Amino acid sequence: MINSGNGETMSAQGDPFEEMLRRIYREFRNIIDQIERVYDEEALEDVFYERTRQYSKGSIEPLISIIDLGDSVRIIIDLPGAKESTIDVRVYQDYIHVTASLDERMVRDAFPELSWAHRIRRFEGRYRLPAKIDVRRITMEKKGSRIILTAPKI
Amino acid sequence: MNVPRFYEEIVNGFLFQEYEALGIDTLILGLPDVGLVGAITAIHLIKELNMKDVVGIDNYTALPPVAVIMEGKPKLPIRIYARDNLGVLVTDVPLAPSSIPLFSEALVRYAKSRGVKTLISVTGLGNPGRIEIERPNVYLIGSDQYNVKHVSEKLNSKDINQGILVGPYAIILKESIRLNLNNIVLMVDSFIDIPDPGAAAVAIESLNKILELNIDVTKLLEEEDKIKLRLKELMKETKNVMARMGKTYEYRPTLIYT
Repeated sequence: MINSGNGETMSAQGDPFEEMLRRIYREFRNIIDQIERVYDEEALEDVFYERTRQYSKGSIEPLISIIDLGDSVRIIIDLPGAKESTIDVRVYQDYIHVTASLDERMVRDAFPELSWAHRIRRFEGRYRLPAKIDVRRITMEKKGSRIILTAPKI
Repeated sequence: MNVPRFYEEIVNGFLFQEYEALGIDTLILGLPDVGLVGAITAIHLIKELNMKDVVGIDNYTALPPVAVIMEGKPKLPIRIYARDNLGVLVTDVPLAPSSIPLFSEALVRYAKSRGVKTLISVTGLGNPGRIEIERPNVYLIGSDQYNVKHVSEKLNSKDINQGILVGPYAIILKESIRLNLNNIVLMVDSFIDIPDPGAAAVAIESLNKILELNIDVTKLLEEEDKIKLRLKELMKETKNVMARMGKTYEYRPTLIYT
């Protein structure tokens, strides 16, 4: 066996069976690459529509991290640049809804290239939870720009 | 007469456009990954060291068709910034899973051909308990065990004896071993899907010790909210990519255990 310059392994004797296998493998790899590209493009399409929909409403969706702790669920909502007095988090059994007004100066600083085209004023997001939670026993704390909610599962 | 404005080389279909000769020993990689720790680290280094972009990288079919405009000038989406013998790689678009293997291999081959001696991959190690950790831990793995041990002593970092690394840094590590290039993977406890400037600050302090730099992280921590707001959308795109490239393997045990 020898290794060609382009990284493909070739048979020194030119074994036709090995050559055929190599072709099949190459074709298979091409098909997989094409499928993956379609997935990549579809994901980008989703991001595009979601982003333009939010910007046209003047809002952006906060990032949240949902961690399943077994008997309970921890939800970390990150609201950098939110005006503290406007933060509104509504927790339901299986979803949460978050809104907050954004500090305009912070938005201008963070998105100088976008602020001329879009007036982003607030955070808004609705998120489905991985399990139903007991909303009466929820605890909440705030660390910097992050709000941490912990609730037992039902 | 046409005077070439830059030198070009194509490796694995990726175009490397050099505006200046790349004369660096160490290249820090800040690809978007867990908590965007690498990307935030890279941005801060470039700003604090006033680095200049000397190499642009692109692939018209594997990357989205973008030209990044900076100070009125068009730039390629992946760039290497340099100053003295240190380089930093950043990308404005996350690499699609299908382009990760070829890009990672091309990058190592290109770095090797330019005489780079060490690649430092900076990333977050997603920790579900990060919110409770005041000072994130540092973890190291690398292509050369002797070198990892030496660096680990400097940083007082933790060892990873078992686990699975997924993504471009996994291929960069394997390819570095193949091509006998020193690669250190610097991982810091971080949020998984929220940008984590606090973890990036710890990564920079570690780089200060490894490379004898003196980069202040005060501004990074002061501007934490602005950075997180600005990188929010990149984090979303990266989360999407992480899910599709099998990042979930990092959160399960290996087959063989000791």
